[in-house]
Amino acid sequence: MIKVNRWFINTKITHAVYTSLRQISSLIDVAVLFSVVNLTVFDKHGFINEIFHLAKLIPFDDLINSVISGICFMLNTWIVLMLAYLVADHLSKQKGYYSGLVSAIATTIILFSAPVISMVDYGDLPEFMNLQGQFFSYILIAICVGWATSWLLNHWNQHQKLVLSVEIVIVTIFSLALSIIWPMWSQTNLLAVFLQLIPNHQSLWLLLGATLSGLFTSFGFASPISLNSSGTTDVAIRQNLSYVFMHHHLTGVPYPINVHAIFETYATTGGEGMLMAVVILCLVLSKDGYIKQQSRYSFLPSLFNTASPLTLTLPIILNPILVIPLVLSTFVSCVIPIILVKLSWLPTSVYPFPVTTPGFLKGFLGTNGNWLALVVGVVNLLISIWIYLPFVKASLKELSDLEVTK
Amino acid sequence: MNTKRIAKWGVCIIAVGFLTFFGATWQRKQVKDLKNEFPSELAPVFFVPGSSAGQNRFNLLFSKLNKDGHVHSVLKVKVSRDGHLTYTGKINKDDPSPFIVVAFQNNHDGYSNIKKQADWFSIAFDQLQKIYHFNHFSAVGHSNGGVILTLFLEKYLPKHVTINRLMTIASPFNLERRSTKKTQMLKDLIAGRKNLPKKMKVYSIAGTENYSGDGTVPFMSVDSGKYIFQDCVAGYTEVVVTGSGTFHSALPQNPQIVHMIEQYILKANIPSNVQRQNKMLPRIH
Repeated sequence: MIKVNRWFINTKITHAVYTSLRQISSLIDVAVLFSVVNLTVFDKHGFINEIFHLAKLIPFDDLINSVISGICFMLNTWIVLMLAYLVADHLSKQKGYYSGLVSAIATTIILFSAPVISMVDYGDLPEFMNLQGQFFSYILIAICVGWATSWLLNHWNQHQKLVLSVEIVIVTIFSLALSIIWPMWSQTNLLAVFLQLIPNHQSLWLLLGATLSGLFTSFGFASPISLNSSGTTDVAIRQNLSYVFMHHHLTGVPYPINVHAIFETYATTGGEGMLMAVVILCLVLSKDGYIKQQSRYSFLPSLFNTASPLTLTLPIILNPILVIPLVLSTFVSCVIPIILVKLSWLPTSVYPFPVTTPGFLKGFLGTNGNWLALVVGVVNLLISIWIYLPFVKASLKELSDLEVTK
Repeated sequence: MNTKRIAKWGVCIIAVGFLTFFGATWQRKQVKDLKNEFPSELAPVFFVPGSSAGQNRFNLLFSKLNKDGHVHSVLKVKVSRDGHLTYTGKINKDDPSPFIVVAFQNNHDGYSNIKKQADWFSIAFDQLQKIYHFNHFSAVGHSNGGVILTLFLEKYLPKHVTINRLMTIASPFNLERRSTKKTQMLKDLIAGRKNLPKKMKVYSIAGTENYSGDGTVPFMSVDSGKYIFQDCVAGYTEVVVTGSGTFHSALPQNPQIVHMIEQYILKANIPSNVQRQNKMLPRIH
């Protein structure tokens, strides 16, 4: 495993991606800071906003929220374009800015053709490109475009104009085809669709979905289990709530196992993949200045479940060694509450809570103050730290070795 | 260095405790608010037949309502004299607005029987609510069925359940009396009107086959409903249906009344321009 990881990290493309991400890490940190403050304080459904009733205290909170959303949209767009530019630039054999520019132009076309074709309202654009939206999908697209552009220009350097024209045509056709075939491609909640088709054995399907979600997160895709549940899950939440309001207790709800009650409540501490465990481990274990600094910046976002940018700056995506603990910790964090709920020791998390609620508190709030749920939240975090520990250690060693060889 | 680290961890723990305390306080209030506002996914429509009619009274009406658009599942419940319930049919899992007919073994006329039937209806209602977990519903009552429902709403409706809309079809709120002199039943209904749900919308339909009524229930008796509902609920509308098919027993399947049930109770199959017209909203270009 270590050998595979070492080979992967030493490949030219991974090297180029890591270097590029480091170059734009300050931009990512600033974008995350704005996002976290906006999502927790100025958003009407943000955790801090809700618990301190800030909507009544802050004047023009809606306006502030939309202005910061706009800033985040611009910063996120810049991050994607810069990444496309830098990856192509690092991989290109030629000096100059041409390959970077071609890559950025092609990425711009992909980035904006989807909202243009699906006629997204101008005011909704920030939602299209925020941390809960398609930001991560576009990060992966930017890397692919950067790599493809450099490859084309490395092979046909004498036909630079032709390469630019061909690439524009190809990405336009690709974007059009994608929008037509699968218009809401990254907004589809695959698991909800799946659960609607198969109503039995919900626990097994949920675990499969959680495992898939971990895999998707590791490769930088938007998760198939969305943070905003819909479809069957939504019905399950409503039916459960209805039951609880009628019977005044949490036992015997019609849907004890659902995405909200298990995955959202217990397996997203810090962000999908129990990322708070990585932040804590990097804070404690890292001696490297850059990693230590990044984990410090990521602590606040991870407290409010928006540590996903950490997957870029540390880096976690495209780091094969971290795929195993990411998937395993998500899986275990789902298994523990499923077993306890099935044994009727733990009440199902029924009540809604803000997406930015600190991970370990979600169960406590979702059950309206059950102490065992709080214990499960904390235990899940501790077990995830234990699962991540050897892998993060190995990964940090690999990264510091990489620094030394450089 | 150590002191600094301990201080850092101390601050973190205090901050987490702080968030936990305020989070829990907020959630307790949030749950309370949700409880008052949250409508269940399931909102059944209850149908109560009049005297001498059984659980199949609305079969023709249901076949007309289910003809096009959403097909509503039908559950029929018969309440025996000792409160025992017999079920026929079922509620489909994906049906948000199923039809539930509640009929009575003792389906005789007269105020004393109506009082008993309202009590039996409450037994069926409580049982159904326990099984299907709904907290809001609509209801249609034909003839004495409308009176039974009104009595139920005044005396037996659980506090955490709300009724959205009630439609009474040819309901004799003043029994068979053709004058304005109030019967004991009407007096009791008026006395209990303050208990009616304030947010409910009521539609009272009268059939007039002749100048005085639908052949069985006098128009004046149906019209007496205004003393119960007017200025007491969110909306009270009286509609008089005339023409063919307006004799008492034909009213539930009268095409105009079927249309009104679709429009006001089911809120389905109505073109948006008609809905807008009904709400008297301006057209938005």
